[in-house]
Amino acid sequence: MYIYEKKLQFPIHIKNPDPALARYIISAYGGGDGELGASIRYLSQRFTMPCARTRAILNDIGNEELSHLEMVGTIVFQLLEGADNELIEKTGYGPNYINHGIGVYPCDSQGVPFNAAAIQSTGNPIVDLNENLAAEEKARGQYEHILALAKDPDVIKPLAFLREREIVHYQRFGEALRIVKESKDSKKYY
Amino acid sequence: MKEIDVSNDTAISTSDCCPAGRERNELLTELSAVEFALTDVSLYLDTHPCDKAFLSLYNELMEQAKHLRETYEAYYGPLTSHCYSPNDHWDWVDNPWPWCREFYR
Repeated sequence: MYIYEKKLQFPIHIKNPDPALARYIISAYGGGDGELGASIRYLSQRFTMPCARTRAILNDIGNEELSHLEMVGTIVFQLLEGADNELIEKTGYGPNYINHGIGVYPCDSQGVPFNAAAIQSTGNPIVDLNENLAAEEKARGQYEHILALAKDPDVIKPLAFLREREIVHYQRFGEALRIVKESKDSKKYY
Repeated sequence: MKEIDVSNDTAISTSDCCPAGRERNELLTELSAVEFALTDVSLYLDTHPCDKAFLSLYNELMEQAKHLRETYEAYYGPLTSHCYSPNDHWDWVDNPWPWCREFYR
């Protein structure tokens, strides 16, 4: 079950609104390679994992992705809060503003709403874990694209943290895949 | 009909004043750091549940986190909604919430 902790996994305090940056970062919230997809992918796959260790790792990484979803939502919220109409239009955020105001809405940087077609959950742990390795790399790549365009240190710090976590998750899924393969390869003695 | 007054839903100490002997922001940052270390170690233990060295590290970190949480919750408000609320007010509802600019300084 779920209990909420009233703090973020990593501190976020952004002083300056920046709707242009918010539009880039929303992809990490509701884009195909973003945290919403990651959370729902792992929390869906955990049901069909074959052993205790793989159930645990899918469950726990899925949970951590929800914390990351919260962090990305927080960054977008703080980048939009206090932005006046002139800044919104000047930074090209106008079309997004028409549809969602300064609300945090799960879509990508092009405004395409989140689609579960971006994720997979097949019930086959080897397929699912390979999907997850790719997912973590895609997420890392996306954070690197955002970091290349961000200049505000208040934004760079939490994004750099999120990028690092993708690398660690990749390692953990690699371990989980090894565990599943080894248990399939192990001989049965009757 | 009585109007609901929401102006008072703010935690008692949102300033940097330190009844706990430590500034809220410093305490929160240290708690977040220790709990993050716990998360990271727990992911490793999920795939290596018999690693004695990491189990021992986890338990040490738990002790630190327990102490930091108790201090934070005593002075700055509950961290979960499953927390004892001794005053005449349900402290859980209080601002700031973690996504608000004022939560971290």
